[in-house]
Amino acid sequence: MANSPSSVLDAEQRAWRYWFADGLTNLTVGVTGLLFAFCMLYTPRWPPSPLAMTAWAVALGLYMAMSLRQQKIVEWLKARTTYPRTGYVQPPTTEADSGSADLVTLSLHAANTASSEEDQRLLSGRKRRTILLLALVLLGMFAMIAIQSRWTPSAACVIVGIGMCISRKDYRWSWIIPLGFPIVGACITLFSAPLQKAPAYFCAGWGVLFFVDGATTLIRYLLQNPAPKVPAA
Amino acid sequence: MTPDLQALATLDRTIHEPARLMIMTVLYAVNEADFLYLQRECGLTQGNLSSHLGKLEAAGYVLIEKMFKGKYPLTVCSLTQKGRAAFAEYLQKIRVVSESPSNGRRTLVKPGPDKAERPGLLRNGN
Repeated sequence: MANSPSSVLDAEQRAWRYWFADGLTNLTVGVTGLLFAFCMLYTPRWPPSPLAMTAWAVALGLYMAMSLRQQKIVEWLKARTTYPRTGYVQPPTTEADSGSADLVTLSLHAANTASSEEDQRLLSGRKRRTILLLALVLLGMFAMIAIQSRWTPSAACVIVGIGMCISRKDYRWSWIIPLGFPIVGACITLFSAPLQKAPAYFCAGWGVLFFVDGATTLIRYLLQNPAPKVPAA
Repeated sequence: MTPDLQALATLDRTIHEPARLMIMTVLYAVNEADFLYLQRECGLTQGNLSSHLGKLEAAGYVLIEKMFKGKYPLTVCSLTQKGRAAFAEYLQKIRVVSESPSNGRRTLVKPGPDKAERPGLLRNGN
């Protein structure tokens, strides 16, 4: 008994996994990444055409809105897809009262709910893996900016892929994400993308991988949980 | 009977019932959940869950609210301060008994093919 998590922690972990079970979180992270990549890649040149300027401003506005209000957007989507199908449970970050459902907030909040030593150990493990993931992502991004070499994006993407692999089970990512990052890095290198644009391509790859992962998870979820029948009035 | 064992007699019977214990455990962990989520997590029928929630609400342990998320109506259940304190006390008593030195290295409740653990009986029992 001493080596297994308590029932309370088990219920908490099931609620945590439930938050990611429909893929909407990854889907929004993917869209945010794609919008950010778009803003970085298509900065209007001077003199800007009205159409390009408008497209860029809209993308930037959407990116800002999605970054700052991510949890609200995910909840809005869940209220229309997940809650009527499989029920509502309080989102993991509600008590932290944060607008964005970022990984650190989710992990740190969860670590405060543990009761026993074993629960604390399991949750601090999740926290450590999240911090390691963020450190690896930042390291990869920094390497891409600082080291101007053709092979840097590949190496950076492998590092990020390792981080994603370590945290895969915590955030219910499919293998698409950890295995996809080295492919993104290889594509940036093989297609000889300009080195100053490598971070933007990396963000685009990030967006595509999370979007694909979120979309496949959502499709699988919707197939497994069809919409409830509304009784005729 | 040792004082540790005597503590078992003071366990809150409202919480101690298996189905209600499941409901309290889930609500203690997640703060609030709706009827459908509780039903799926606990594996209870609608009627059974409704009955147990009614008893917990009558004891002042659970707050049941009707609310809307978007345009969808939800029956959201959460633990009251009293319910949270009662469950924490219940856990503490169970922990004291199960970790008591007088129990030696044996576990208090040996896992086995107990009929009460079968989900079918949980669904039917009240």
